[in-house]
Amino acid sequence: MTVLKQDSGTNLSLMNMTLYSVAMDMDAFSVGEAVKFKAPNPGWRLKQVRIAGWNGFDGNTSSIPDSENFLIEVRDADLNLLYRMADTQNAYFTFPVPILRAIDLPSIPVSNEFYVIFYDRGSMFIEMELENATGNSYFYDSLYSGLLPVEFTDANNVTTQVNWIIRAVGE
Amino acid sequence: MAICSAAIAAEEFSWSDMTILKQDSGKNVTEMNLSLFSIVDVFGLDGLDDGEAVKFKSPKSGWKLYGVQVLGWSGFNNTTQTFPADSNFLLEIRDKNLNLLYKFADVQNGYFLSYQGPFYGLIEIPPLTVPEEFYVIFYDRGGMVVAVEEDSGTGNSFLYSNRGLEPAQLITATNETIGINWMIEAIGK
Repeated sequence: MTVLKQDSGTNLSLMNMTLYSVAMDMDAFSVGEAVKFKAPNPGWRLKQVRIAGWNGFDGNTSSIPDSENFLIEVRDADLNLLYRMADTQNAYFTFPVPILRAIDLPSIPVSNEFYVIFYDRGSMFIEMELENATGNSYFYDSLYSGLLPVEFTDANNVTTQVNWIIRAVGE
Repeated sequence: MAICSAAIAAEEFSWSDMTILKQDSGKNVTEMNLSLFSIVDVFGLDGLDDGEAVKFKSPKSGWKLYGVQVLGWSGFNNTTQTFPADSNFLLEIRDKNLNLLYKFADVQNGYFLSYQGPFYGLIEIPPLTVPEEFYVIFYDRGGMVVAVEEDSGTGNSFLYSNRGLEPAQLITATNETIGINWMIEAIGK
């Protein structure tokens, strides 16, 4: 299996990361964190995605949030839908610290460029790398079927581009 | 962090070249005799396994289904100014022999959230080549309501359960049985 990464590739324990939820930040249920990948060869099949995320669990049972769904979509270069699944965040991301969690998919043939889109729905956070942006991370708005670049501007007007920690695994 | 984003050029997926299949009366929605329905409200817990089913005919061989629209609403409490808790619906596509072709569950608030009442929520599906006759089955699971046209039944709306299909009907105060139409549409090309 090949693991495709569109972050800096730095070891996760050394990365400059922070947690983020697009649904909490933008109050937008229909917007997802999207990463563009390129299949390494014709006939390559996507079989798993890996998401670095966390549902807020601090080790105490009482901190487990209400069960809510995230949504994963796989789209081709023209944003046509290839696959989608929804499931509860607590089944994957209930750990005392953020975790890079593997989610198996049915084998999906992808050619050339494709997108993995993760809608956190405000049910959890995903990790974003705050430096070494590769230009492959986007917001995807499902209402308008469009991609937006991900840029954050702080109070000092400094703009930061980021990488979502979303990886694609296949062969 | 404040977000500073600008739209970039992207090859947009378009719904404009799609065909919408309807099995209601065809009247303008504003002129229809509509009410709101949840199977769980009627059948209790037994209704969790029952769905609102509509039979469609694909317009041509090789026609692909890209999405389903349901006129529905997850509700809004005006007194407490709150939306309901998340609850999953289930969507199924079946062929004329009721073999399962596609299945997808997700939270109702992701598609049917509104302060103002029912609207057409679109559920996109990966393109699915459907046979000449197929069924769209929507399980509201009690988490939302689905609009129903209470007259002008076209004979294409059913209740679906492990017992199979039964015509969706309403018995009036005068004991008259009339067919109804679920407001469910199939979109494809």
